[in-house]
Amino acid sequence: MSTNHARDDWADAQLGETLHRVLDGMAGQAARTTGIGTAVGSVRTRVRRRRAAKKAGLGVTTLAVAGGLVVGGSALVPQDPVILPQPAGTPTPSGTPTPSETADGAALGVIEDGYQPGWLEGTGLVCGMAVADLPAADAALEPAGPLQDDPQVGAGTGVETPMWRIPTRLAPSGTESGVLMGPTLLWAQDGRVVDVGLDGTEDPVPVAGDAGTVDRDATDWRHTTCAPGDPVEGGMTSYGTDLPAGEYEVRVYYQLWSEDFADVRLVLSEPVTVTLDTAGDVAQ
Amino acid sequence: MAPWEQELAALAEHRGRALVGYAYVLCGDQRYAEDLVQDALVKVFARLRRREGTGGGTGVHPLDDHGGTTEAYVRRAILTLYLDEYRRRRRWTGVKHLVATDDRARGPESGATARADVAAALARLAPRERACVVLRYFEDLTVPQIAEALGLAQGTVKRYLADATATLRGVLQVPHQTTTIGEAAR
Repeated sequence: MSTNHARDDWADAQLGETLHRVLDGMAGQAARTTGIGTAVGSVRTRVRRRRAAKKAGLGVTTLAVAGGLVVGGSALVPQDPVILPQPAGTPTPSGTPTPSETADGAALGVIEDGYQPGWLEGTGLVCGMAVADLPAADAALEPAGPLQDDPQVGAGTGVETPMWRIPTRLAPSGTESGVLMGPTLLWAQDGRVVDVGLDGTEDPVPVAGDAGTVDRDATDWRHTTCAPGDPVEGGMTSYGTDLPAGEYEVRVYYQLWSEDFADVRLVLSEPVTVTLDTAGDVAQ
Repeated sequence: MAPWEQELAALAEHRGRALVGYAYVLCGDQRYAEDLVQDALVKVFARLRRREGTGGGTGVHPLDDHGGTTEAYVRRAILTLYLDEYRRRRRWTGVKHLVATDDRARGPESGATARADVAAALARLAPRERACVVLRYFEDLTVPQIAEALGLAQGTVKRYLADATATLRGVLQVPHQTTTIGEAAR
């Protein structure tokens, strides 16, 4: 280290040197007595869990920030859906589109091809990938109701974009054990993944053997997590780009992690066709 | 073992103690310092990903990589967590009196006593003042570097340093004071 603090005009050289020496001594004493080396195991476990369940796009802070970025966000109060089937359009260059500015069916134009949110690391699920490359649908997972705009989802978070919910049922094979993360929704258009949904797994679900079915609501919002925005405080990524109106294939999916978080596979449902209108209403 | 696990293990083994030392001069409490280091490691390593083109070997970096080493990110995370924690819980008041017991019994001219006196004086500083002192006199950063690290104007950093060193000078220039830490912290 240099000793350029001797030039500080608020402290003479002797004070600076003394402070430097004393602080080094304090640090040295703490370093000698610490048992930090024994904590590596617990740190590793915490990192594994966080990497698995990372909620880079769902934290309340991020929701509030992202919600604040929405231009003309829709009200959360559900209304009778107005079905506006739209043909898929030609992808347009990405930018900072808003619902009113984006051509219908142009989801590919607003996403970042090849982007993968942090919480999906290791899953092989990447924005822009072909749906043909997704794992085959698992009959054990199926929607148990319609996709609907639910004002209770995201209540109190300041989110001003529609948030959706769909009940799901998973019947594990009985031989598989691990930790489930999700469920959320995977959106595809023109055969390409355009939104990988939310992570939202504050409460991972352990599954073991024949524990029975898992009934959970898959949640999602209109912002696509395939269009990352600027990092917000804490290093989390914000997402403020809406899926444009159009017709989509929507799949429910879980991440199923092994108990040691070393392996993961995706559990996907069969796709359903959903029409999203400019107001954010969805219709199946 | 994944690359990030290898890097985590190596960093903890070779630099873990130094990181605790850094956290300690910031917060003044051993256990809290260890918590800060662990939380910072989790925060940084949870955001690591493999560098492009490394073929799965070594070489991972934070998702928001702007250059620098992993240890530098961990140190930055320690500082951020420390300041954030203070803002949330005002925990500072709870650690004023916490310094090593051994220091209280040493002679007034020993380095241990000087450390104890400075520790007590540091405990009276506001967290940002303390952070400025640590970054200046422990990390040896320049004023512009401190300003950047803390998101402050350079003039603000200088003011913090002037105020802090004025407080610390009073402690360090009492040549034979036998005040114990508990007394000094009151």
